[in-house]
Amino acid sequence: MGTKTALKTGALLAVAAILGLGTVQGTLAAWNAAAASKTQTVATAQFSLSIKAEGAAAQQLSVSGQEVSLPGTTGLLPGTSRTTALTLTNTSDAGSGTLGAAVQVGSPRVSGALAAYLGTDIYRAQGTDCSVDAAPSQLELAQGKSAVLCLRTTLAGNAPATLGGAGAKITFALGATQHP
Amino acid sequence: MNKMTKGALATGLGVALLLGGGGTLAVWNSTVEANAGKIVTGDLELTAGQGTWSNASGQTIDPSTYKVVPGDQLRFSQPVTVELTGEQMRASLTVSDKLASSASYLSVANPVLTDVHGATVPAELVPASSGVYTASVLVTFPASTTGTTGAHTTNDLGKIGFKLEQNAPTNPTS
Repeated sequence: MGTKTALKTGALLAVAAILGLGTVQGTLAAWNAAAASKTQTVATAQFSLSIKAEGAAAQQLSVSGQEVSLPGTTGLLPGTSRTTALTLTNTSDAGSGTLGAAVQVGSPRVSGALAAYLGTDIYRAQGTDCSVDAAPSQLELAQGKSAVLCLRTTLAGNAPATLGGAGAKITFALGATQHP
Repeated sequence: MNKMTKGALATGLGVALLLGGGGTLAVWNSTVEANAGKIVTGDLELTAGQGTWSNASGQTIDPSTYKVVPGDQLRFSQPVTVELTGEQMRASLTVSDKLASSASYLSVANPVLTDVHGATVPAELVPASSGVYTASVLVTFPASTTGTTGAHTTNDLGKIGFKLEQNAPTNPTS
């Protein structure tokens, strides 16, 4: 009787062990490994133009529309004109090197005491020669390239002498669109 | 004589009885050793290589100096080397972390994981599958971007991560 009991107990133990193993197997961890790249960044370009009057330093044009002051002209007599060459440069820094700009040049506006007697116009030079009116209001600048704009001011012949020494402010707007 | 015989018989019987008790005497035994041989474990390794960037023309570029504009599309390629060893070794290779941009003007696509032949990575790798796999990610600066949105900025895209995980054998040893 003792022997039978012992055998029976042993068999039960064996079954329990097998069941136990079966349950634990579902929670066993598998091998795994991980790897990652370095942190990656992407930088965007600056889309910008600069403008430079003769004898002065170039100034960056702000996308916020803030005015840039350029050196003016002096000693203009009634019935005479003066032309100022302005060099416009596409200073964008795209990695492709192909960030062109289609530039729209607005008409100049005059304010101040001489407004009624001061005529202005702006045009693109033939190369750098402002004596020749090459093209009107829009020009295309490839990245890194420049063009010369010519601002011509003419004081009317009938400007009164009382305006001698007076000044005027001339403004014009430039617009740029990515091109192509 | 009879007494002696009787005593001897008694003695012999007593001895015989002791022998029959058995439970306290040593029984014959023998031992032998067998060489079961060595068990060598398999292996599972994953190593990231050097990632590279290229532009739409397929030229390799340096993202720290190559500045994108609306209409640009860059591709990031990150290789990983998988090594699997073991008769029952089966594993799955997945992308665990993706590149992403918090900037709304940049579009970062989901990674595409391929083998050296450009084929999609199998759902289950075996030791014969060991080799280089590449995750490819397309980053686009849409041409429809207006104004100066996103101009002159640096965008952190994070890291791309990989996980190689063993698939449990279907017939484990018991």
